[in-house]
Amino acid sequence: MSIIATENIAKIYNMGETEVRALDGVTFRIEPGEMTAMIGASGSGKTTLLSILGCLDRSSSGHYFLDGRDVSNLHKDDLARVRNRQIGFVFQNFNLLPRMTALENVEVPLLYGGWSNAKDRSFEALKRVGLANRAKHEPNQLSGGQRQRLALARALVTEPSIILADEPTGNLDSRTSEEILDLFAELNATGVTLLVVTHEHMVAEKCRRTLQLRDGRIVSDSRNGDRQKMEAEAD
Amino acid sequence: MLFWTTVKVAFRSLTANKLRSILTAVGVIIGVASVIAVSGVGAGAQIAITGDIKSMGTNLLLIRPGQRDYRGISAGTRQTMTLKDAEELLKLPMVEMVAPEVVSPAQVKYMNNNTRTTVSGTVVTYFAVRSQEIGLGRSFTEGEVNSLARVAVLGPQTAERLFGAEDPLGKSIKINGVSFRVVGVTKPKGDMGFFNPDDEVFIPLLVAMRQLFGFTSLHWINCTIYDGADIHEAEKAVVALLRKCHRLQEGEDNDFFVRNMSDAIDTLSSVTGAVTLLLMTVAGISLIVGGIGIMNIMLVSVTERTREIGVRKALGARDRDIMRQFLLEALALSLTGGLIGIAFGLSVIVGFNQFFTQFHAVTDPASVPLAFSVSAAVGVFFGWYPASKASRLDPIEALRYE
Ligand SMILES: Nc1ncnc2c1ncn2[C@@H]1O[C@H](COP(=O)(O)OP(=O)(O)OP(=O)(O)O)[C@@H](O)[C@H]1O
Ligand SMILES: [Mg+2]
Repeated sequence: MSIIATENIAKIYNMGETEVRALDGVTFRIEPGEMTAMIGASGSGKTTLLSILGCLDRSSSGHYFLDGRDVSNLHKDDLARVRNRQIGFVFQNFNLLPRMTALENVEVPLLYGGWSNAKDRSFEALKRVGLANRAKHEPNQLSGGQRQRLALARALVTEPSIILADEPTGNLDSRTSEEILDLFAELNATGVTLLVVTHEHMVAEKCRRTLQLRDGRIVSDSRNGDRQKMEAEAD
Repeated sequence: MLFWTTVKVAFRSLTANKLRSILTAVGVIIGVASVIAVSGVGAGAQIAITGDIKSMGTNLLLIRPGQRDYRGISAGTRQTMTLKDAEELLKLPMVEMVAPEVVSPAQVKYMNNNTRTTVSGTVVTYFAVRSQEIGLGRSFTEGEVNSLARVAVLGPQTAERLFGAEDPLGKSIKINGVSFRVVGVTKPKGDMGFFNPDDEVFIPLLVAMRQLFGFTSLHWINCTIYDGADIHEAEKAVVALLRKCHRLQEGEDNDFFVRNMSDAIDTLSSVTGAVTLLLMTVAGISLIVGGIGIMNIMLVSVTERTREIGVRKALGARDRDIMRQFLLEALALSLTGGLIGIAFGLSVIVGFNQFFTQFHAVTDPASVPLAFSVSAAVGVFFGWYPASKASRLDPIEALRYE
């Protein structure tokens, strides 16, 4: 069963007289364990789609099945639970909580989820991203790459089945980006489904599948294998 | 687990803006401190006043002739109250003791010391009726009263003023030029505000009436009723008797006033109570103002932390989790303010008692938990709107907030 399945999702913003169709009939599926890149020009609807897939936002019409369940009309408390249990977010600007240590930042989703031994789990997650020695640091005492690794630790600490990342390397230099992508690949190897919005080719190349959005529609859905095949045929 | 972390986060965000938090709490601090101080001083005043009156005896009836003046002597005093009235009153079954009295201001002199004070001409029972104990020497005797002996009992303040450290007993003083022998000094009772029994000279009734001042009628009849007798019943009986003695017709106004001390206590209590209530209202208003300050700063805080709210929601916080976080923060503000206010109010009471000896402000043990719960209520009440505003933020809009 597909872990993500959308049917004709549309998102329409009413801006007074005009209406903006940020998403205009998006239908696609993602299977468990896939690592997918989403590309598209600025304003094509990537963030909007990711927000809907992450249950942060609702579509104007259409259906979204998460792990087989239609979540389009869930109560907002249930959506909060879905975000807490099934989904991990990584943002371009990290979105870490100030005045809290790295360890406490990682603990936040565990506390909302009512997990036991939040401290130990958080520390494990920090270890996984190589930040065990920064547990007591606050976000503003960390470098950009460390911040994004911390955000990743926070996303994976609840062991979600899906991690959604919106331009996770957008604020990082290429070497640090590489580190983050390696972490993503490691995570994916353990079976986590990944969907990464990106502008960068290097990121897309690490993913086996690439979705391309244009004006709120999916205009191409390619597997890296296909491309290699295509390139081979062209030779 | 989540709760304690939330408390920790609340205090951390308050200490992140120390000055702002303190300024916000000042309203609650002042409100709580003044509620505690005002109620303490008010209760102290009440206890002092009613205690003074009680020290005169609650079974006391004071009768004076109809007149507008107070402790009056001046023109306009009706001269209808006589010794005969006093004798008749004693025959009433409920009446225990009767002490007729005349009063007049007079010049009192010992050697070169002069003082102007109140001279009270009365009988031996007066001291018992007014619970006036003798501190030094003795009171005058019935024999002395009947034989018009020129003896005097001094109030302690008068004695102090005339004699200083000297022993007044047996000394001769002059009242309006007439010589009297001092036989006793009363124990201090304290100034009662409307009169001061410590600054008075007591002499035999008839000496005062006939020899010193030339009064033909009484200014006061002090009487006590038996323990257990109903004071209002007694008062009615007294009124009926005096009306009969004065041959007042049906419908004619009393030419005298009767005041009973338990009513006086009630009146004064309600007066001090009203004053205290008024001041408490003012203090309460400053609590409300403090609460509005909290609401204001919480609204600012919610706006500033819109993004944080978005992040928390993205990580799985439900509306009620956000609500609780901001309520706890408002509560932390108001309770911190409340605790400081309590400490402040209590020290005001301690300071008051150091500077004022008239009476002592008291701390009602209930006022501390009360002030604590009131400040908690202020925090919850005024924190509610900002917290619910925070909790209803749409996650995606909050995340996008710049
Ligand atoms: N809250 C909103 N109100 C109105 N229009 C919106 C809102 N959010 C997004 N849009 C519009 O929806 C379209 C898609 O926006 P979205 O943020 O999804 O683009 P994107 O692909 O993520 O772009 P970028 O690569 O620049 O991040 C844009 O035209 C944008 O103006
Ligand atoms: Mg975007």
